[in-house]
Amino acid sequence: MKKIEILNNQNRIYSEVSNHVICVNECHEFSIRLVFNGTEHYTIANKELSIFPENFLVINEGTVYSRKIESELAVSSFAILYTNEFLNSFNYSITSSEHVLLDEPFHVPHNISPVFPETLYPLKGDMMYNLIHIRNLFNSELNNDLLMNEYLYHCLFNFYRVYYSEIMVKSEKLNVIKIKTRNELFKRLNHAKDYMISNYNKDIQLEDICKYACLSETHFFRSFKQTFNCSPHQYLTQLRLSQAKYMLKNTNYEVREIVSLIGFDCVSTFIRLFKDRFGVTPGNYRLTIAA
Amino acid sequence: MEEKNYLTAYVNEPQKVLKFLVELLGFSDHRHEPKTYVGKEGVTIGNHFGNNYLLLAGPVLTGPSSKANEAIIINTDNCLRDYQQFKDAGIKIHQTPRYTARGLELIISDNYGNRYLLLERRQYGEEER
Repeated sequence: MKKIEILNNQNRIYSEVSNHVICVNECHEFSIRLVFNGTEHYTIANKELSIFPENFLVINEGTVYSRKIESELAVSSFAILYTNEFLNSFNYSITSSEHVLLDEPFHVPHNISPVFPETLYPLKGDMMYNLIHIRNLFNSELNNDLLMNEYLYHCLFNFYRVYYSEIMVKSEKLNVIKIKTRNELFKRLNHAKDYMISNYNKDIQLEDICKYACLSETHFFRSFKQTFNCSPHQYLTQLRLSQAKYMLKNTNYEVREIVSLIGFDCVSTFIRLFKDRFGVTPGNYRLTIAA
Repeated sequence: MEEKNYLTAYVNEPQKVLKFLVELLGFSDHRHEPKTYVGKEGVTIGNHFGNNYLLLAGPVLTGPSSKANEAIIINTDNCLRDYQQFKDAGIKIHQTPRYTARGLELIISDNYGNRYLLLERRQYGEEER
């Protein structure tokens, strides 16, 4: 089931609920992409990325990508596509000083679109709340362009904040003087992070991640810790625990099934780590949610 | 039966404010229902979410206890939707929606000098605060 809403200013919202989708070589405007359940797989320039409900992906205008859904249960995927004009106007308003905006209030730079790392970003906080509002309005019968554009504006604003904290702040943590070198290293670390997120439920090894990111193990380990404040192993464990928490809240899987689904070997280890992380056992967490 | 929660709001022109709250902010009028509270004086009662009620009282005008100028906090489940509706209705916006540590909020005012802070409470993780 597909549904598309085109707003008066040509921004678009796209929703699809399906258990089988294959789209090859698509190319659109700048977009924010997410799923509300299940997994959607993207391929961008030989890089494979999987979107889960706890993250989202951005794709720049003009990027060619493929996407795939193969699932027993229907996956609800969602995308917001911003026109260049809207994106550039927003970018101009948020990056220009007040006096420039006063001097040239209607200027919209047409040839300089912002380009963002096409990586997986965490879906949380205001971004998540506003996307849920967007979905609710989209699914309602109300045709309220003004409100929808207000949401889209805020969603972009939220994304800029996520971009700042996930990209700008983290890349600054790298102890590399040359900007070009730092950017390249950060890009490779992001590849590694995306690989871990996309394959969190598989038996992945450090050497697999390093190979994917084109970094030596020691260089990767040291740089990753500098950037993300934890070791790759800790990062992977946190990912798995977060996914387990999501499944405890949103599915009926038993704990031992969840343990298997998130790539853990041992139930007791999982319970101990879950309790250390969230201060409550998985069973009690589920009971609290149900209450 | 769930317990009703009452919050006293000190406002200018309580009767007119009731009209403002009911007609423009979507409150319901409960003036004629039996009062289930004790020890609080309120001119009228407006209802918002669930069992939360507002007791509209006249302003405390003298001394440091004056509360007439404090914004009345009203919880909402959708701040941006309300913001759009307020703009459409021509309600004076004092502060457009902004993100704070407790959620998304905006401030409006009525014609009688009262201010209202619409708050969409949001739960953030530790690292997002």
